[in-house]
Amino acid sequence: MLRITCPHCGERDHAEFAYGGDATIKYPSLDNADQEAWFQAVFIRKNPRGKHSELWQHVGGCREWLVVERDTLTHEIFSVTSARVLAEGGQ
Amino acid sequence: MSEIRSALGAAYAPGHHGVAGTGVTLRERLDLDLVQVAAFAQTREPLTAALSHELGMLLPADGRTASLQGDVTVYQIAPGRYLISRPWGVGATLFDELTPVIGPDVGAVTDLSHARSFIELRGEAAREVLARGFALDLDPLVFGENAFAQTPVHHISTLLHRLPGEPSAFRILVLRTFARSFWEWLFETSEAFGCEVLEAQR
Ligand SMILES: [Zn+2]
Repeated sequence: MLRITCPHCGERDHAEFAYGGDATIKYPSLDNADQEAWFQAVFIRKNPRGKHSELWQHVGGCREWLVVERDTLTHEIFSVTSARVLAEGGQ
Repeated sequence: MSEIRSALGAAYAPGHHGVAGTGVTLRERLDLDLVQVAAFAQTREPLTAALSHELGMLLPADGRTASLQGDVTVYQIAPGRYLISRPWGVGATLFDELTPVIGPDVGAVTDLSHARSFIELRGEAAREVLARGFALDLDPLVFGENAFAQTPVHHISTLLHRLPGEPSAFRILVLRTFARSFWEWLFETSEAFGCEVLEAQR
């Protein structure tokens, strides 16, 4: 069982969290009409073996969105950061 | 203030239940007011300052420890979002008191007084009862006095708070519309340890 340490709530079972996908995807701006750019952003994923940056929401707790750096092979978790804090430019 | 009615209905039956002895005592609290005060993205600091000033107490810095002062309990349930409870009848309702303090440019005050059920359990078996549903380490060294956690029990969102000043006392806030279902789980689990249900506190 994965254990994720939410910056606000503390360490919890992964069942309290909802997976939100690859955190490295940059979506095109809404006025970008390029079909290929949208196709890449919406459908194409790398599925890496090893270190991966993922979005998880602590839906059973504080409901914050988190960026979790996780090893997809070993499930080791390297870091958990609030996505809001990252978006605001903090660490 | 409109009358608070229990959401537990006929499932709440004062008296002794289950095996002999009293491993755990259960009691519903109907005497507590509750509001949520939430900041906007840019107003967490001014909101925390205004709220702290109005309540005359330091607010909790994270989502792991509740702050208590006098009759008032404050939980920071998300960054910049607080749940505040205190007994009814100490003046204005929390909503009426805090709405003029937290203007619409600083945050949102939401009356939740009819939106949660408060259930307390105490006794030597309290931890063991909780351990059958809460995926938390409840050892006092980890989950000590005033520790709290928002966590689901069988997919029902709850807030669990270890009350101070007693060796084994907990308060649970559960969404009102799920409260009866949650109560049935808690009651049936408690029966295995011998349980005394007290008259609800009004
Ligand atoms: Zn959390």
